[in-house]
Amino acid sequence: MTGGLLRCENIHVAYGAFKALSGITHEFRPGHVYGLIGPNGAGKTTLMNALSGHVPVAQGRAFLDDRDVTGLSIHARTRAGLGRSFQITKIFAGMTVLENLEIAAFAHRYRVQPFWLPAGRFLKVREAAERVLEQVGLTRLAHRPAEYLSHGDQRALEVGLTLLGEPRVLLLDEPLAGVGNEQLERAIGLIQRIVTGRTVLLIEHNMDVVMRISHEILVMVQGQILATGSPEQVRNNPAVRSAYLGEEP
Amino acid sequence: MSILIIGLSLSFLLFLLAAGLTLIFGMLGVINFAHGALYMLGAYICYQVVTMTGSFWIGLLVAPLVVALLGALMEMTALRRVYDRDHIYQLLLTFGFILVIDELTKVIWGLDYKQVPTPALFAQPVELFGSMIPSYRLFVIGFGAAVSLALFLLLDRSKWGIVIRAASADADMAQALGIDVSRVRTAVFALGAGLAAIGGAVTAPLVPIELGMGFSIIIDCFIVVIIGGLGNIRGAILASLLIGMARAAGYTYATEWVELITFALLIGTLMFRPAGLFSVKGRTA
Amino acid sequence: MKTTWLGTALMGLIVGAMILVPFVWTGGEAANLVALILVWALFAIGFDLVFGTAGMLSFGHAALLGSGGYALAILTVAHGWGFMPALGMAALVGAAMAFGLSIFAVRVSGLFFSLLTLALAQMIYVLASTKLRGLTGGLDGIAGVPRPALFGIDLYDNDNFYVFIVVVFLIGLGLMALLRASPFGRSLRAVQANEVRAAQLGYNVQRLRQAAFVISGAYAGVAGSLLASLIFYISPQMLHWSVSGDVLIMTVLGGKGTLLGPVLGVAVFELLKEELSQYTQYWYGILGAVFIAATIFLPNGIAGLFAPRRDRDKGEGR
Repeated sequence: MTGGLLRCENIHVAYGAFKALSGITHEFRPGHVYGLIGPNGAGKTTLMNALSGHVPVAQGRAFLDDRDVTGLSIHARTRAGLGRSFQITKIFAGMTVLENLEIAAFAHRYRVQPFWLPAGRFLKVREAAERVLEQVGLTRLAHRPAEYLSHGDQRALEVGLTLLGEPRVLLLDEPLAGVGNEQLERAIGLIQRIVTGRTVLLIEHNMDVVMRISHEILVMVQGQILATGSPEQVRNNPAVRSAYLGEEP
Repeated sequence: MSILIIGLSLSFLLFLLAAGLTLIFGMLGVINFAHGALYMLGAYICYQVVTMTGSFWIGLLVAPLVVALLGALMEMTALRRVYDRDHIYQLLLTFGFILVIDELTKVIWGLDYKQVPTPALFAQPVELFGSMIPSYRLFVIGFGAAVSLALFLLLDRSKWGIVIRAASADADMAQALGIDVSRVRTAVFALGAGLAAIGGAVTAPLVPIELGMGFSIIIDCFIVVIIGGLGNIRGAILASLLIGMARAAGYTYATEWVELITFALLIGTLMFRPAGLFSVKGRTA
Repeated sequence: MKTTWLGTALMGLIVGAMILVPFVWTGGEAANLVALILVWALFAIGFDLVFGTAGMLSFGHAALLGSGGYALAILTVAHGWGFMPALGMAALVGAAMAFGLSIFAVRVSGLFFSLLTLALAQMIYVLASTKLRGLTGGLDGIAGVPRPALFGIDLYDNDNFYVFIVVVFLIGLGLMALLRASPFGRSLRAVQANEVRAAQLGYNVQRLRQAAFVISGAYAGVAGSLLASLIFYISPQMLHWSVSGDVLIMTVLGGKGTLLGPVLGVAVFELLKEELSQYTQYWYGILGAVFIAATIFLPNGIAGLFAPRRDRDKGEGR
């Protein structure tokens, strides 16, 4: 996998009069993991939504490998190499786990979906889906309807769907949200495996995980980037401690 | 001048119906396909009361009450059972109601046109700015304005309105605060149905009462909410005015084209403002 | 919704048996009735690609059925086209009409799609009965819609025409089965199940919806042609909103989102109509009540009875 340089230039997002993002500028370098931290309402998810095309950008540009993606639709950004998982699980109910993954594989492989053969005849797609199935540890649940999976397994499926697009840039919105303690280690392991070699933006409330796997931390407050730096630097930054951790300087 | 009067009376009528649709949609998340059928029922019941009592005013009072009651019944016996399913099922139910209401109307009143005479008080035309205006049209405008104002006061100023708005915005939270959301839903559906029937009853002296009247009005209503943006009262007012005026002008200048004028407005809107003329957000109802 | 293998087989047997009835009882009313059922079934399975598979409730399918019927009637009666070329053209016209409507309709989603398709179809109805009188014959319609002449067989004989309709129906059903099982069909189900996720995976949701609607239009175009040919007549009645309502009722009764459900739904609808209309002129209201009850108690229709137990009561197919 090559490339995966994501650049934000002065991105603004507004919901009516409320400014959710005011002037985000940052360069996300290929193969690095960026942890986004900050209090609720700081604009972390909004930044992901702006990058993936779910909310319109009022001002500013976003570039993926020097291609301006600001005006592109959601699906076009995915095709350009951007993948994303959601905080609230979005999977295809009424289909099995394997079918879910095949849907993702077909989306990635065909611009115009084949209509002349049954889906089961596409063996390459089946293989790709099964590979990811194994990667996210759901092989034994392949034929279970997705909506009957445990919460933790649904989170894993969510990540799997994203992986099948072979994204160069990955936006992970709280991949560990709601994962029970007994499944936590497995989930963390999964995330550690998939972030390697990709440009990743990670929102996660589990600070241990964020600090452990991020190369760089962005601290967001009120729609702006308050501070950036290595986990170590951020941990010791007095401004961050006061703004984010609520400590007296 | 008469275009203005006819247009305004049409606009208020459309607004009453669109407001009912919007109210029900806001609270129940349902687009009530049977809204036109309830409007038609309002007209028929008004006719029935007029034949029995000779008084239009009693009809105008009774019809909305009966239809509101029927609305409450529809909500309690059927709609309530499908709230937890996809919105499509609620639409299907209200569509089923059309068939049943239409058929019942046929059974009770038959297929002939019915007519309600203009109430004696407004039988004489009046002169306004040099032209003769049917005074009943003026009454419709005044009455429509009064009902709209009452509705506004009810929703915006009364304790009831606060309850309805709270339950519309967040049913779970309202429930937690001790509001009986399921009763609010029944009440709102009944209110919407009553508004439709008010529209029907007040129209009764203006048009021949017939089975098809419910459907033609619902199409105009839907166009109003598409153009105005559903759940947007300001948009509904402006879109009602736009369509009412355009139709009134059509009756005068291009009778042949009246039916198509509304559609032209709809298409025009969609071409240039796909999200509706007066809405800011994109629509995913 | 998925039916079990056994359920699908059972439904197939029922449909197969129904198709065979007129071959046994020749020369009677059976051929006419089952032909009518199969033509409407063709319309319904096309409708369900949009409704059950892609999850869009169209209230404007009458416009598609009618435009196909008018295309065939006008081309054969006024322009002397042969039946088969006109039938092909009718499929194209149905698809083109669907494309025209979809330009506006797929811009909005959810319930607005229903409102908008209803309004646009009503516009077509008004146009056909008034402004396009010269072309459509206005409210009088067009009489004398022909039947095909194939291999020297007299298709004005109901039993022979029935065979023709069975063949067209089976081809339509087979193509739809393939379409539904193909990656394209699956992507439509994905769009229905979770639109945001489907877009995020790279599917062009609007384009997919549009494609489903256009294919559905082709089915409606063929069905409308066969209907006009079956009764030798077409009028704006075929464009009326109640036609859109009927196909919806049929599909819900039979079971949306399944291949054979809509076919069974059409059969039940037509049989109920036959039976009820013998006893009362108000049969349509009773049908409405049945429809309401089915919506509440049998959300997956008749096909739901053939589904795995856990899927039955959910009102699935979001």
